[in-house]
Amino acid sequence: MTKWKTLTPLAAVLWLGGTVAVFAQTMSDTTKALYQAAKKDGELTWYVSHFGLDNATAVEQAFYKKYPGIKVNVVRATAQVIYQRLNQDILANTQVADVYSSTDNAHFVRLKADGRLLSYRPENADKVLPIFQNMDPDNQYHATSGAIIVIAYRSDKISAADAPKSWTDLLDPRFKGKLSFGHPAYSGFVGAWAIALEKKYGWSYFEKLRANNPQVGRSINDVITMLDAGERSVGHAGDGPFRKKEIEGAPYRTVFPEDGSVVILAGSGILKTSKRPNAAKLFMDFLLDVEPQQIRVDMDMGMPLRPEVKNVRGGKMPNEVNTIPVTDDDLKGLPALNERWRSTFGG
Amino acid sequence: MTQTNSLAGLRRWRRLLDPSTLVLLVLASALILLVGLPLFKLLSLSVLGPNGLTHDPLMTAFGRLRHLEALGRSLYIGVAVAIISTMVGVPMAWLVSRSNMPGRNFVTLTVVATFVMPPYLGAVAWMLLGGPNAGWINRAWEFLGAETKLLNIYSMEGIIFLIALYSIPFNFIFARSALDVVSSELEDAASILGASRFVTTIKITLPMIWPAILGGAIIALLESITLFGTPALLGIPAGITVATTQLWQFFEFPPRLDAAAAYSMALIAVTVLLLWMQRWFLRRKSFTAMTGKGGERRPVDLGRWRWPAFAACMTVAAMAVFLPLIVLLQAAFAKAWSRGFSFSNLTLANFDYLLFKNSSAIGSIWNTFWFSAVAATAAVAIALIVAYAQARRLLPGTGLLQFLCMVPIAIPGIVLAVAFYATFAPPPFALYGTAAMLILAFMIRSLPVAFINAAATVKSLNPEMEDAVRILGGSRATVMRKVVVPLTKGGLIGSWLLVFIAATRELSTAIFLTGPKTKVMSIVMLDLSEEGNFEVLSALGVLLLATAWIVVWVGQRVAGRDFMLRRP
Repeated sequence: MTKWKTLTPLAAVLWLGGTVAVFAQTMSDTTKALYQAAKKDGELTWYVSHFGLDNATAVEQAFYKKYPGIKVNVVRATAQVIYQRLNQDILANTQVADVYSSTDNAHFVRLKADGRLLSYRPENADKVLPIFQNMDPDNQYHATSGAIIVIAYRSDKISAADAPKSWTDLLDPRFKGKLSFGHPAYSGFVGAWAIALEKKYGWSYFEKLRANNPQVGRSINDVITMLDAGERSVGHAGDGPFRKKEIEGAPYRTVFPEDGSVVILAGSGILKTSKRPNAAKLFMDFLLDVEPQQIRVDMDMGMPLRPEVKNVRGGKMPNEVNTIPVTDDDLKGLPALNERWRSTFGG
Repeated sequence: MTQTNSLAGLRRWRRLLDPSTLVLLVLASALILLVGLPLFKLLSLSVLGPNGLTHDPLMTAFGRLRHLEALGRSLYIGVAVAIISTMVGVPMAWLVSRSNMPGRNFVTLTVVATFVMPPYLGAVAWMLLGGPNAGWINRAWEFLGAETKLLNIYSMEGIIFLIALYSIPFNFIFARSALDVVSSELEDAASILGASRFVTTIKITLPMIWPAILGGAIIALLESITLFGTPALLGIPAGITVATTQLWQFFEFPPRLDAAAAYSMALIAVTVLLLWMQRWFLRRKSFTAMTGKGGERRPVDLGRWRWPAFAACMTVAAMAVFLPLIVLLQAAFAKAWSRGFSFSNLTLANFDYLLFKNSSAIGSIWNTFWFSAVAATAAVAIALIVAYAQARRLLPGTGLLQFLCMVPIAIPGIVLAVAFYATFAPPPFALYGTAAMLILAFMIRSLPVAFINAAATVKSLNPEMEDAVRILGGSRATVMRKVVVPLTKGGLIGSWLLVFIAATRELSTAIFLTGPKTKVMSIVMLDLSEEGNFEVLSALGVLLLATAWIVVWVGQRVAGRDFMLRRP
C-alpha cells in the first residue's frame, strides 16, 4: 500500500483546497460553537489503527486545513499495539489519547464496560449511510471506517483456474509455502478474520493452514508487502488497497470468497479522561465528514461511509457480499484465540 | 578541649558544605532514585500482590512452557551469537592490529560503520536481501542456476546470523584495544623456541588477551538477549518468540505489568550470572603480560594471505554495511522498492513525505538527536564526576556511586524500560510521555560505558596539576573546569560519541516510554515496518545514518580516529 501514497496526500489536499471554502460557509451553528471552544483546547491526540500512517496523516492535515489552530497528534499502530499503548496509559494513570480509533470492536465494548468512553453523538452521525449508523446505541463509539476482508493473489504467479475461490481452498497443498497472513495479536482486521473462520470451521482450520507453512507478519498490510516482494503469492487483505493496485495494472486479483468475506466496521470513540473534549468532539464529527471519507477512497480505495463520496473503486459494500458475521461478543474471545494462535503458529 | 572539639566539628561541617560535596550528594540521591528505585519497583511488582506476598506474577511469567522456551531460545541465540561474532571479530581485530594486511584503517572504518548501523535497520535491509523467495541474494543464487534457496532470513539461523553480524564491533573493539598493547616479546620467544606463527598466535597471543575476548563475547551475548527489533522483525513472521518479544506480549490486553516484571527478573539473573562468571574466571588467572606496554610490536607478515585476509574482512563489511546500505538507498529513493533499479522508479517523494508531510517523522528526527545529545552529555558528565571523585577519594562512599553507575550494565534495555515505566509513569513522577522519561532512560542505560571510559581517562591524569590549583586557592569546580576537562577532552568526546550513537539506535529502551510527542526514529521505523512501508522506512533510516555519520566524522576530527577503542 505504499506506491501511490506519495502523490495522493497532495491530491487530497488540492481537492480539499477547493472544498474548504464551501464547507466554511455551510458550517452549522453547533459546529461553529464547538470550533470556537475547541480552539481553546488547541490540540488533541488521536490513537488510530484503522487507517495507515499516511492515510491518518492526510486526515490530520485535512482537519487542520478545515479547522486551523487545532493540531492533531497522530499515534498510529496496529489495533492490538495501539490498545496496548492505551492500556499502558490507563495503568500509569495518565491521559494521553483523546480520540481512539480501532479495528477491533472488542476494545470499545471493553472500554464502554469500564466506563471510559464519553457519550457523544456528532452532527454527522446521521449523515452516513444507514448501514454505518448507530454502531453503539449509547453513542459512545461510532463507525468511522469500513472494510471487507477478501482473498488476494498475484495473477502472474497463480492462474485464474488455480486461484482460490474460498477460504477452505487455501488449505490445498498447492498453496504450500505461498501463503501470507497478518497476526491476530497485532492486527484487529486479522483478529476479526480469525474469529470468523474459527466460528465457521473450528480450530482445525488453522491447524490445516499451518501445514501449508504460511508466513505470518503483523499487520494485515504485511501481506501486501510480501506479495509485492514476490515473497508469497496468496493471502488475505482489505479489499480497497488491493483493488486499487489491480486497477492500476498490477498483477493482482481479489476474490470475494464463496464461504464469506469478513466485514469490518471500525469505530472511534472519545475518552472520558480527555482534557480537550471540545477538540475531541470536533474531530469525532470530522471523522464522519465528507473529507476523510474522500481521502480514504483516494488513497486506499477504502469504503466510503458518506453517500456524497463516490464509490469509484468499484468495490462492494457490506450489504452486497456474502459475509461470515462476527459479533462484538465473538470478539471478546480474541485474547483466548491469540493464545491458541501462538501455540499453533508461534510468533 | 571543648574548643578543639567544636573546631573539628566546624571543620567537618565546612567540609560537608563544600560545593563539591553537595554536588556528590545530589548525584548520589539522583542515582539511587534513577537506578535503585526502578529495580526495587521491579522486584516488588513481581512478588507483591494487593494482599502481600504472592507467587502469582511468577506463575504467569514462568508457568507456561512457551514462556520458558522463549527464554531458552534467547539464551541459545545469545550463546550462538557470542561464539560466531567472537570467531569473526577477534581474527579481524588481530589482522588489523598485528598483521600487515592491506587496508587496515579501512577495515576499522567498516567496523565503526557496522556499529553505527542500528541492528533493526540491518534486519529491514536483510528482509529485502535474504527473503527466501524474493530476496536479492536468493534471486542471484537462482540466476546462477541453483535449484535450492541459499538462505532464509526468517528462521532461527537467520536471526542468529543477523544478530551476530551486528555484534562483531563489540568483539572487535575489545580484542583490538587489548592486542594494541600486547608486545611481541613473548611471541618472539615462542618463535625462537620453534613454534609456528599459527601456534604462537593460538598459544601465546590469544591467551594474553583472554579478558578482552571474554569481555567482548559477554557483551555480544548480553546485547543479543536484550535485542528487541531483530527478533520482532524476523522472528514474528517465522513464528519464533524470544524473551524480549515475550516480554512485550505481557503488555497485550489484559496487560500484566507484574508478570513482565517477574519475567524481567530472569533476564537480570542471567546477566548478573554472566558478569559474575566473567569476574570469577578472570580472578583465577593472572594476565600480567597485559601490562607490558613498553615492549616492541611488529606486524606479522601474512605473505600471500594478505589479500585473501582483506577480502574476508570486506565480505563481512559487505554483509553488515555495503549490501544493506545499497538496499536501503535503493528503497529510499524508489517509488516501489519491489520494482528494483530503474530511472522510472526513482523519486524523492519519500524524503519529501518525511521532511514536510509527516509530522511524527520530522518530530522523531529532532527528538532522537536532542534526546541522545542531552543523555550523552549528562552520562559523560556524571561518569566523569564520579570517576574523578573515586580516583581522588574526595568523599567516603564514592564506591557506592561507582556501583550505581555500573549496575545498569546488568539491566537489559527493555527491562529498564519496564522498570522505568512502572516507576516513573504513575504519579507522583508522572513522567510518561515527557522528554525527561526518555532522556533519563537513555542516560542510565549508557552510564556504565561512560563510566568505564571516564575511569580509564581519569586514571591517566597526574594529580599534581590539580594540587597546584588547589594550593593556589582554586575550588574543586575550578580544578574540574581548568584542568580535568581540558586534559581529558579527547577521551570525553570519544565516550560522548559512543553513548550518543548507542542512544540514537536505541529501540528496546524507547518502546515502552515514548508518547505521541516524544517518538524517536527507531520507534517510527518499527511502526513503519508494521505497515510494510519500506520506502519511507528506508528513507528515515538513511537520514539517521547520514546524521550519525556526520557526527562520527566530526568526532573523529576532534577525538582522533580511534575514539571507539577502549584504552586500558
